[in-house]
Amino acid sequence: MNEIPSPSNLIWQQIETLVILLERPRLINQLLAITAVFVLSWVARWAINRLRARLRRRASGPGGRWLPQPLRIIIDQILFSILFILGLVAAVPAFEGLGLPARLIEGAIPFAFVILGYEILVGILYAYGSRAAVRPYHYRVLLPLLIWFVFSRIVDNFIDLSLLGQIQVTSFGEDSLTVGQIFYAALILYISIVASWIVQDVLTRILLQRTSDSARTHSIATVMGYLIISIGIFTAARSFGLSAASLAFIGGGLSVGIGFGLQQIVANFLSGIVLLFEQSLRPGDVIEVNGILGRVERLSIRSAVVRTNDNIDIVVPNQQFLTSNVTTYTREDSLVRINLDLGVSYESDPQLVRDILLHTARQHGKVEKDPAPYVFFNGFGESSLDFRLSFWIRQPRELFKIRSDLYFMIWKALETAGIEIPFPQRDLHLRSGWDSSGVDRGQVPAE
Amino acid sequence: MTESPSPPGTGAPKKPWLAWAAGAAALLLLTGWWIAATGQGPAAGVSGRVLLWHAWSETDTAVLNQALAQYEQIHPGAHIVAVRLSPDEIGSRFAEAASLGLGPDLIISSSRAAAGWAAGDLIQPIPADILTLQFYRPAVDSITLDGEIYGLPLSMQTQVLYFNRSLVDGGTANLEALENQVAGELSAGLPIGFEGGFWGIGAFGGRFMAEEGRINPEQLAFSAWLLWLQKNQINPGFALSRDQSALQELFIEGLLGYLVDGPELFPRLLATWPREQIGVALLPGGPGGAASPLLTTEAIFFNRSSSSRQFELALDVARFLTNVEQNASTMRKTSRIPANRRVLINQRLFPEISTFILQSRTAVVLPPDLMTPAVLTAGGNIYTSVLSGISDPAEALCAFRRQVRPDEVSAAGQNGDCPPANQTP
Repeated sequence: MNEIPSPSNLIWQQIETLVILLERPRLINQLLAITAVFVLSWVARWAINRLRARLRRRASGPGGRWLPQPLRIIIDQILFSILFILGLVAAVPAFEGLGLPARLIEGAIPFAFVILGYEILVGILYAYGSRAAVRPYHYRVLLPLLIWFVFSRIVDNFIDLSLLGQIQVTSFGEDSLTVGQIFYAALILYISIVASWIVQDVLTRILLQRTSDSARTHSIATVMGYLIISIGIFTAARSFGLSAASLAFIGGGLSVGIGFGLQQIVANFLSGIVLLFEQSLRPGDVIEVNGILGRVERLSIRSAVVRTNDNIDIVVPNQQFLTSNVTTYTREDSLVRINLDLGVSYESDPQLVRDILLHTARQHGKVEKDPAPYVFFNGFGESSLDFRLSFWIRQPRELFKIRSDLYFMIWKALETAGIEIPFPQRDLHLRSGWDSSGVDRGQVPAE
Repeated sequence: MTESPSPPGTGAPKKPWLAWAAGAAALLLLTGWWIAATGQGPAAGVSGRVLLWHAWSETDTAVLNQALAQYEQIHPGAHIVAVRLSPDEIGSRFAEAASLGLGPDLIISSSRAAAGWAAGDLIQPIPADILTLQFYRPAVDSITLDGEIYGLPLSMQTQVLYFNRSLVDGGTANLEALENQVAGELSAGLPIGFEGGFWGIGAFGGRFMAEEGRINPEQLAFSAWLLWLQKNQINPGFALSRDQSALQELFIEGLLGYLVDGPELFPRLLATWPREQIGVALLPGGPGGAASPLLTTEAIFFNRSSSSRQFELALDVARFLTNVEQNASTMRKTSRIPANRRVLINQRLFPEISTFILQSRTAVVLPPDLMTPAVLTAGGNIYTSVLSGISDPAEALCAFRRQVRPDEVSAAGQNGDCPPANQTP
């Protein structure tokens, strides 16, 4: 078993090793050549793209674009790698011709091919998928994998990563925690998060092709995602090699922390699990909570995002859904009844008013035919005949808009039919009589 | 204003990470260039930094570090970064790193690796003006290729006969005496295999190598030795095995009275047995003379990629570690057999080391190209095929020669001493 130096000595040793290696002309020459090829490939790619753009501008029109778009996207993507590989391949005989070693340059060629493979894959994804859909896969999965591969392979040649991994960070009881363990745990967590995200995305796409219940689909995908992350957390904890005693030690510490500072987070977390399994709230539901009307956009383990009609996202902690009254318009069925009250003058024909209201409601595309709209004659008001138009819609989020539309339409229809909507009227009887002399001048008579 | 190659919303986004990567690489290289540029001038005394890889045990590493610290004390401008690696991986890691221009400036390793490294241009020979007369000739020969000396020898490794003083009084003079002694309940562990069993060729009066580095086509002694082993493999007094560690375990447990082994067993015995129980004697001779074990060397090799200044410093460090004083100190503290012949060994204080030195006089150094793993495996197959009755010794030896020196065999085949492969039954 190797004796592990102290962390500072080890880090210093690795820096010294790097300095020693960088003192070697054989190495520096090759590294400079690789960097030069890298930079030149980049510049060449930029120049080629400029030239292509200029040529396209000259040959404007559909005929100017002689390559199909997917192919152009792929070429754009892989151009750098191709130039990089060509540059490296050319540099090897050039070095050998000068009697210089070129093994490092040769060693860089497989890396360049790895980059090419990566860019071909990314190019194909962008060529045949939408940018919004591909971007997360590109930046969350493929790019980190490439960076990890290239970085670890390069760095491992210069410094001893395995030795750095053995640096002890802290200890729990009899177990010690090393940099390597932390790294592997983080790697496992990252993989589980990415796997969770991919599974959720793919599952959502597959399920949505078979069912229209997006809310249920989202819930299933979310639960699957959390399951994978939970497995990842468990595996990461196991990779620490923690014994039961150590876990108890950590658990004890965490429980104190939770008791004092994290109770709200834990309450929201548990509420999120309850909401997911109970299915009392699902993404897509139109709800009203604390006076906020909106649609549930996302339901995560800690909070829900409710989007109002003003397109404002409001983050509502999950606990709120369990501890306060929530009005849901779409719990079992998205069918919602809306009532419009209005009054017409006593001179109007009630039958005609009813017909006009029903006809107007039926004319609106978002008013349900079944159940059919209905008009209630609510009574004889102080200054009007009072009616109530009841109708059903399936778009609760558009409640205000549909109601507004109908008011517009009703006003127009009543006006066309010559039916007056009265304003409140009062008959005043003055015991002291009425002096009308000042009225004409717009003056109020003196008492 | 240039037109974007892809319409907005399609195609891959730009790559800012490429700019960062290029910038970081350029910065790193400029630093390296600056270090290289400022470090290539004439050195004022011995100064600079070098990297040393070794695979010594934990206790031996402390001894090495002491020596290096002493060197740094003498040369305050010099600094040696010593890194200990696993013995199983040090060779392959060096080959991989050195081929890319990386790896240590000095590596302490067995002479077995020298041929491969030299052929791959991974190590460089020492300058001709460096004197090597102070080293035992076989030690130098083991790291000499095409007239160039690739390194400085630190210690020698060969085989001797260990015996358990609680079971036997002393060593045994020859194979016949050994056969008589193990006729009772006593057992002797004999390693078989190219390296482990090589010593018996000399005992039957043969020479494995002919002049000019050719394999001797006359291998009558080798055949006799193989037949002796074949005869004795059914003798319950002998434990014949290719697994040296298994034999070591049996010996340490007191189940074997004798064991043929190298110097690496000695520290293990010291850690397990009382010193007075450990006996070391010369290998038994035979009807043809003294035993001729193989001799290999632990040497300090120099990376071909080191800068001239690093090589100068590395060479100076190696000369320091192999000088009389350090070689003697290393012998005392790690029981290594000094390669420096000026080290005076008190036979009363270090009887085991003395025996190793004595045995090294009859030891054989094979050309480095015959010490590669492939050749050693092929040599081991000679023993396997003969002892299992698949081939007779002559056939097995011819098969070996055909495999490792086909050009010599084709010439010899015309003389009729080793028939071509298709004529071998």
